[in-house]
Amino acid sequence: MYMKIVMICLIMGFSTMSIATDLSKPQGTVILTVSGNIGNINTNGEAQFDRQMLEQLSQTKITTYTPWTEGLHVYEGVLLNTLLEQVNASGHKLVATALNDYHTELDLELLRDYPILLATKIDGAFMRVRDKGPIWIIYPLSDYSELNTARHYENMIWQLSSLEVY
Amino acid sequence: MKRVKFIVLTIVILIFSACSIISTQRHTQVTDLLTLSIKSVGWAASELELETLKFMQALKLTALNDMRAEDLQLRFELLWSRVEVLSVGEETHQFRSRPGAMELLLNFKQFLVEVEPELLSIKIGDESAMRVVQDLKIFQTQVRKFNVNSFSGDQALGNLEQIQSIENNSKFYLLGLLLSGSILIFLVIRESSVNRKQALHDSLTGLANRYFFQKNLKKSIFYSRRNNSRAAVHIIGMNGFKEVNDRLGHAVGDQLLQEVASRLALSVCLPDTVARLGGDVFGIIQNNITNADESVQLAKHIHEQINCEINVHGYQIYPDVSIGISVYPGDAVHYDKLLNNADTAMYCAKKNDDTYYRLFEQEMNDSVLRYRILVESLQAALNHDQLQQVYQPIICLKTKRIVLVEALLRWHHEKYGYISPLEVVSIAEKAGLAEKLNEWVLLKACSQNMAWRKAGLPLIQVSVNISPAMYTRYDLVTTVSRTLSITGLPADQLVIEVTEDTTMQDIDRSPDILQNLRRLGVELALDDFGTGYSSLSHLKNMPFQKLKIDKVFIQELNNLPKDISFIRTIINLAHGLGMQVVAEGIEVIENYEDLYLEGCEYGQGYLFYKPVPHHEIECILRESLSALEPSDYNAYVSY
Repeated sequence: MYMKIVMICLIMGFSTMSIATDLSKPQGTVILTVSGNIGNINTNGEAQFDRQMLEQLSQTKITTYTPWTEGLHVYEGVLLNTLLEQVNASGHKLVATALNDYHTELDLELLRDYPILLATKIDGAFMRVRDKGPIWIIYPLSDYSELNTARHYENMIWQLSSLEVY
Repeated sequence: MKRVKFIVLTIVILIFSACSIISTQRHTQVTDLLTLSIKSVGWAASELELETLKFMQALKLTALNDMRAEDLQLRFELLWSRVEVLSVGEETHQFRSRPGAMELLLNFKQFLVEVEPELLSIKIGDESAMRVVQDLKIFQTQVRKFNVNSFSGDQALGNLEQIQSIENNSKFYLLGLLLSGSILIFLVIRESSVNRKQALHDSLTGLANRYFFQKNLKKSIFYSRRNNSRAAVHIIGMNGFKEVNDRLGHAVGDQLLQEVASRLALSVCLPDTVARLGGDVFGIIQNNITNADESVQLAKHIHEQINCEINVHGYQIYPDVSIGISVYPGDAVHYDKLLNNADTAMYCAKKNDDTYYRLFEQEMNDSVLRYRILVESLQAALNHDQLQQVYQPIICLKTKRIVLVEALLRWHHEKYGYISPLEVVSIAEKAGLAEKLNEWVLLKACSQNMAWRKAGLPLIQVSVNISPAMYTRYDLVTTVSRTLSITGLPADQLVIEVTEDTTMQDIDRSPDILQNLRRLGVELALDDFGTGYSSLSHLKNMPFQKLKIDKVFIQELNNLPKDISFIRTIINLAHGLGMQVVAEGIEVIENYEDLYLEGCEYGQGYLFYKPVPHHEIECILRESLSALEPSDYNAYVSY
């Protein structure tokens, strides 16, 4: 438990440091678009990210089980909170949309205290679309039993393509 | 207290009901969620169909030169991902468990693996895309069919029906739980009320018990104090109940108590309490009286109701009761004191033959107090050998020598002075000290006689009076036998005097006692003959060696005209039955002469000797040793 707290604190520390940096323009293929109530944008009122930009943000690893995989896997990527701070987001809700237009609404107030991950890697390898990539929202289900419910499963959207803050 | 219990019980019942209802609701929710989960599996499956269709559409658009290769690749990836999602993980386990699902997924995956290299080579406007569409058509049809079956097939419907049935069953069981729980609570309440009743009532008569009586008495006192009214406590003791139990058996005794109880219950008004306080004692609390006369009226009424014939097991019994009454607040203000006072009054009524009821008077307590002090003192006196024994010689009328001394009990109490032997015996019997007292009497008499014998004095017998209880409640034969062996007194030197009245009644019930005493070698004398209830058959059947004519008959000889015929008859009767006669209470020389002439063997009385301490007997016996032929019996008289 202490480890978790220390980890969260470290993450928060890194995030704070990254706030100051302005968003550069994406050089590669855009894999994530953040829109809505955000203060830090780079293209057409949106914040667009390619894989490299996401990798430049502080990375976190979470080991967990999910209902769509067998056994435990290590997921790696940027924390949702980190990303939202990066784009200077202000809002309580988040609409996450997938490549196949599946979408779901996340309550940011509820998730504030949990390390929700925008995973881009599984067991060290980048996730392809067929592996639920390029981005999969991972909840630490194994560490926080209260998150391990059907209600939260719905929000663990894979093949994430955009986020809208409001 | 009762109110608190009721509230707690109500809360428990409410919680129980609420829990049952909530459980039902929760269960329904779970079932709904389960159904939803099954539907979500269906949704995942339909997504597979949708992704397949979208991919086919993308292929067609590519062939028509309307979609870029990257977009086609994305659709391929999405389809692949959908197949993966259905192939792995807990959430889609239900999907895979359906017949044909795994086969479909494996084939589909195989197809995707095989088609991937070709797909990577397809360029925009490439006609070969249409061939892939054709191949895909087979899977699309299979997926479609699978989905339709999943939603409308027998299994899907069966599952839903099963869920519904489980749900209905659960409702039934929950209803059962609710009902059984309610019944359980009902039973608990009923049981506790039965227990409460049993705790407060006497099981034989159904009347209130002592505890309940005291509780109600406290309440009555409280209300009387508040309303400035009076209340009376009646203690009703049955007379002769022990005899009924002993002679007719406990079954008859119990039924008699039940009948008396029901008559008592009918005798009182509703707010009054009737209770069985124990054994053959009942109690009544008479509320709201204005004066003591009202309680006397009730006592009279009770006596009328009870003192009439009762037929029990074919026996005609006339129950008799004595009633003691104590009135609040005149006699006492505390419930305990009221009860004690009514009890005291009841015992006074019992002692008094003239009346069956007594209102409590303070003087009664004095006699009770006296009794209590005497019981304690007697116990201490027995423990510390503080009682005295005196001896009254009985002489042979012919030789004028002492042949026997009667041991008599003397007790001088520091507060109440001289206590008569009769009262000492009565106290000892009531206080459970009878055995101890009689053991003391026997031991003292026998060891004293041995002391005289060892001192070389003329051999004489010693006689003792045994209290009636010894014949029935204790093992007299063993006590006598033990005493003889302890002291070493020859058995024939001990005479046991059996009082004619009460003792004879007790002996009737255990006639072997006298025979067994006789077998020890002890002599038996029938004491106070002529005053009690012994019948002639007693004289005939009982193994007496001596008959003591009561002093009343001897003193009658002093009346004029003198009638000696009665004494003569008794003497002849005794002689005829092989008994020697002792005349008690000889006070004048004429009595001596008459009795001697009538053939009476022995005499006892103030003419010869009054009861004296052991050392005086010693002197008298020594004197008789020195005067071998006493010519004048007056020499022994020591008024």
